[in-house]
Amino acid sequence: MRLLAVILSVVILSACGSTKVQRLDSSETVDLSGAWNDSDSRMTAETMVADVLNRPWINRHVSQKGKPPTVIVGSIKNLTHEHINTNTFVSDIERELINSGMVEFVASANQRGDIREERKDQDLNSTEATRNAAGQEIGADYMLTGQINTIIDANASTQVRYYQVDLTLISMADNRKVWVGQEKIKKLVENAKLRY
Amino acid sequence: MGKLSQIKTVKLPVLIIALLSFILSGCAANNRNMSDVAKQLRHNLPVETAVTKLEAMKVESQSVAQYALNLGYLQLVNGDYQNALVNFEKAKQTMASLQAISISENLGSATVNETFRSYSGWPTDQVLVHGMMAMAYLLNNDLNGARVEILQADVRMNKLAESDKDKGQLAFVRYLAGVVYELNDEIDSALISYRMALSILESRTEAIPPSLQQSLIDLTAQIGLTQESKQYQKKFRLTVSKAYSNKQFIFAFDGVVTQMQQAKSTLWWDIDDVYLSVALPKFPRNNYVLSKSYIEAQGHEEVTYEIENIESRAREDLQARMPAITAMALARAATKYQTVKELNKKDNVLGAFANVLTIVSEVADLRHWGLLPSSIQVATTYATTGTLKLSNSYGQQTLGTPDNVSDKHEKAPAVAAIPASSQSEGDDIASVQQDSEQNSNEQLISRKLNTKSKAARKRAPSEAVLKERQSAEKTPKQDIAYLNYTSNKNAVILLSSLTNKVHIANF
Repeated sequence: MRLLAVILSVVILSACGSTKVQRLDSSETVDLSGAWNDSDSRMTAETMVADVLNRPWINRHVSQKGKPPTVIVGSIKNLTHEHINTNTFVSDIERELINSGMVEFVASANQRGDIREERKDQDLNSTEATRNAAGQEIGADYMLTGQINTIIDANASTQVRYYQVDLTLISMADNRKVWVGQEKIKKLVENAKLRY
Repeated sequence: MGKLSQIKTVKLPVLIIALLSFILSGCAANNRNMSDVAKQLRHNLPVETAVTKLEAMKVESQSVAQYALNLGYLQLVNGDYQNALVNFEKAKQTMASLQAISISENLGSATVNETFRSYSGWPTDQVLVHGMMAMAYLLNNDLNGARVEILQADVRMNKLAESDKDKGQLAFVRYLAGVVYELNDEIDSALISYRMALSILESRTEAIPPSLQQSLIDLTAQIGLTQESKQYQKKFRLTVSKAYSNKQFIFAFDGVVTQMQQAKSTLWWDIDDVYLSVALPKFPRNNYVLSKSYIEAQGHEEVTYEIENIESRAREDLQARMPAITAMALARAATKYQTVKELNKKDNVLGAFANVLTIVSEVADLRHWGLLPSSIQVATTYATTGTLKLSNSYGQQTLGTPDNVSDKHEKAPAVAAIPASSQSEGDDIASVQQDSEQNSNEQLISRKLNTKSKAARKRAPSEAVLKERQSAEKTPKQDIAYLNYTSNKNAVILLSSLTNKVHIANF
């Protein structure tokens, strides 16, 4: 009976914990639930960008046009079992590509609206010397599109989560696919069978 | 000194039981409050008031999931999709985190009562939360979000089916998956989902809603599975749909699911002078009367048909849990009996006090997703541009004799059509509450009449109930909205007997 009383007391008092916050390095990998996370996004972007920059389409474009290719990011569809914010993944890809210095990027369809509004505003309110004229935008040579898919195999407490990211670079001039990249991630997630 | 230490030893377990009884009374109170809201909703409580009542509740940590499910559902039918999604997500995450067996909660339920366990959701809840989220995403014009939820529902249903092939299998969720895939132009996946919905209904020997029949016929024909399409046409006595420019998927949530009750037995064990008490949950008799919604499009009337009887699913879930609940209740009674017996030997007064506490602390766990609709119904219309007239018969409230209800309805003025300006393309909600005060009063009177007749019905013999069930089909309709449907897009439309709002999303 004493033992029972002690156990029950511990159960009640266990709720009296305080919140702890620990700062982590943003590049550190922390897997909690097994779902797609920032590390997956960052590592996939790095791998795929490294691949796209090492393929012959860039050299071919530079030799034909005499300038680095200009790329625009189209839609990257989330077809997974999770509510993934593909914007972070797109940002990771853009950052890696721009920082490589081998390609140029133009604003996506969503971003262009704001820029054009600002340009109209400049037409009215900015000085002649600082005003940016309309009709000077650079048209993209290629569009990057893709999708993220998952296959989940699960039993009572174990899951295998398979992610496949497919990206395609399509020539705006003639719809040619100049590069197709694929990255796969496979995770084994084992959930606890017991909890306190 | 020795006497004092003996008293201390004796008091400790009693104090622990008293303390736990006090703490756990909160869980029971939470559920009582939510159950009261459900009962009021079945009469005439406006959903907005119900949401306010729920939001004002202080929730015990053990009941977070149940609370979030109930609040999320009310927010969904009230058109507050964003908050509904927040609460459903919270419930989903909580239920997922509680799937592991808890040592402390099992210990608590074995010694005090079942409410010591955190509410981890019944199989129906675990699947339906995805369905409700998918519905909220759809009505919020987020097809991708809805797609994610139906994929998660698929994983959950497959997992539940491992132990029992019928456990947590919901035809509504499979059908909704088909709708989401169809809207997303994934016709092959849509067909697979519709087939699964059909399989569930057939295994339960339930009627197949015509909208599901038609979708099976049309999609098989569209994919080129001519033989299968012909088989369905022969089976359902329907033909392939004529060419249409858009399709409206209509869902109707009707009624509020019956609330569980406690069945408590206390007996005097003469041999050891101890009261023994066992409390178990039970569902009272199912008095739900199906009430359909009607959609008139281009002079042709469609009726919603039931695809999921939540009343039955809830009862099946409880039935499946009863052996474990009963075994635990008996084990708990034995533990309490032993404790009281030991205390009785040491001190009769303390023994008696402990016995009272063991009886008071014995309460059944009545928590469930108690604000769910009793029935989920579906229909499809294939209208081109035109007017959709939506009608229902006040869901579960229309239990009165057709005569006294029809009198009131005949006096009710015509429902205001939605102004054309508010029906611009891209409007995702068409709130079409009847705008005349007189009309609202009529509704109230009508509801009160029905409520009274329901109360009277409770006292009436069961034959009367059967007669009312038969007459339910004849219940007069109440127009709730005219939609000037000008969009050339597909649409998802949600009707709920709890509100007179019509929720629409165009795709």
